[in-house]
Amino acid sequence: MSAHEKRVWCELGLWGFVLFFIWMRLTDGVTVLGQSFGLSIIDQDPVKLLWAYGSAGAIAAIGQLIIRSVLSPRNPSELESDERDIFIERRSDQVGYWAGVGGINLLIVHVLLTELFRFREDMPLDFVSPAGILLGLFTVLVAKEIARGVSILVLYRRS
Amino acid sequence: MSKATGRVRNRIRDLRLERGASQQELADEVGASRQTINAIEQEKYSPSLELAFRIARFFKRDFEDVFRFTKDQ
Repeated sequence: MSAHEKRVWCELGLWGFVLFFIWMRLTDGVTVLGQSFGLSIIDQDPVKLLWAYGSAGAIAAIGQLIIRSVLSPRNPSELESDERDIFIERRSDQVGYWAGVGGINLLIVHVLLTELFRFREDMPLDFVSPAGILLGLFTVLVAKEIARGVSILVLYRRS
Repeated sequence: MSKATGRVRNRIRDLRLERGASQQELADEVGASRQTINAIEQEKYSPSLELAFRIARFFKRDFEDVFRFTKDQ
């Protein structure tokens, strides 16, 4: 496995943790690792939301810095990308882009259908609130990165 | 106009072994990674024209001695 693939595996782990963190802070339901986590979005005051958003962003940024410094290629020949690396990078960027577009559209459709068919007050995954908007958009952002990472790993195996 | 579909086959592995060169040596010579040379040998990845010509030049062969296009049946 190349240094690039190892780095992508670690980044996938990091994005999974960031996703778990933000869902843990903003949702309620079952208890996982001592933290509540589920489909009911808990509305919170803006300071707490800003804190959750900032913490998730800081975890992602610090995690990326650590991964890139620890797993940067030691072999000089691995430092430069060749045409296959660039091909895989471009193809995966496209996958990430379309995952983002799909995620945003899914969110829009979900919000509209929730409003259209609202039959009770405590709808699960009700994104029509500041906490819901933050959770929905952040999830799409992270899902886009996860789709991109998975695509890189698959393409390194297949092409 | 009908679209010809097929795949690019190559003899890189045979020629490399004939010459006694490793994948890393070939990779260093043509400016690609060892993983890329491995993917080309296994015909999982089709190189660009530029890289394909560099590989053919490494073996001192004509392009079509190294690469050939085969049409799907």
